[in-house]
Amino acid sequence: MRGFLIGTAIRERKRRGSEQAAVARLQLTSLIDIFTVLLLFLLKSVVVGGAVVSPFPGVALPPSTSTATFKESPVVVVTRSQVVVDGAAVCPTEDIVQSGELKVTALEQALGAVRQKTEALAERAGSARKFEGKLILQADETIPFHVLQKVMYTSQTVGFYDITLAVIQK
Amino acid sequence: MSLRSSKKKRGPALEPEELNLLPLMSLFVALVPALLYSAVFVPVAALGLDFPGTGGAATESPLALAVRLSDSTYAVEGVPDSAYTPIYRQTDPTAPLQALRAQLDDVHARYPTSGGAILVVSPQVPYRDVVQVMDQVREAGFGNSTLLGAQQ
Repeated sequence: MRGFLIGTAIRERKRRGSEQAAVARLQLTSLIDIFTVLLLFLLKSVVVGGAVVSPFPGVALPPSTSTATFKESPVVVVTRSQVVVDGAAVCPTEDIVQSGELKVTALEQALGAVRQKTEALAERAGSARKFEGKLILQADETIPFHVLQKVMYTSQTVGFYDITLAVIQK
Repeated sequence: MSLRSSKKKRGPALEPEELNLLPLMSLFVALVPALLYSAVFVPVAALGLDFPGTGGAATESPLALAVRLSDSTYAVEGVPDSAYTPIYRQTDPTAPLQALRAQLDDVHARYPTSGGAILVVSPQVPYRDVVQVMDQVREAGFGNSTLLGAQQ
């Protein structure tokens, strides 16, 4: 009789335990609060229309009052030490500073490859994405103008006539 | 008797029903990465410019307005019947830029239909200073600038 009672009590405890586990729910209210704040913050910083351009690490872009947006284009970055085309280092900036020529051969080759790639993609995709000669130029604010002049001249020799400067909004 | 009546009044226990927040969570989990992808924390803007020989406002404008940007001065040139005095640049660019803006505003008031200006920039002028002058030209109502390198 005593053993039967003990067995019943254990079964009852197990049953109650399983019932509690079945109704347990996550408290999501605080997490929803966090997500709501995060969502509002992100909505404030989201870019609607135009391409998203982030400053290249180590480049201090000049401030400007311009508020125009970008179109999707290849990016040329001129840092104090390197010239970078679409994320790949092309040549040291010092070489351009020292050069007496307007055309920068290494940059010309890199941009030529970018153009070929864009044109090949355009061929595959039909007329939807043809080469438009657009280029975004990110340059450090301390770079002398003659360096930029050489970069822009070289870009134009490859067919990138529509150059847009990237600046930090004041 | 009284015990029986109290038992009758007591019904099933009413617990506040919890909202099912899982669909909302799923929505947030999908939205947050999408917004993170297109969010910009450093606002980068585009600044358009023209080049000689590729069209642009300065090429088509009846007024051949030029702003010469040298290591030491800003000079407004190309305005008929008037000569603007060169503005000497200083360490703090605020006052010289204001003076340049006043000259550009004056030109725009006299030639309101003109658009575009040619910036003739000396080789050693930092890129930041070029952008500052381009801002002044645009804000004065001339639109995009055409960049031109000055002879050394």
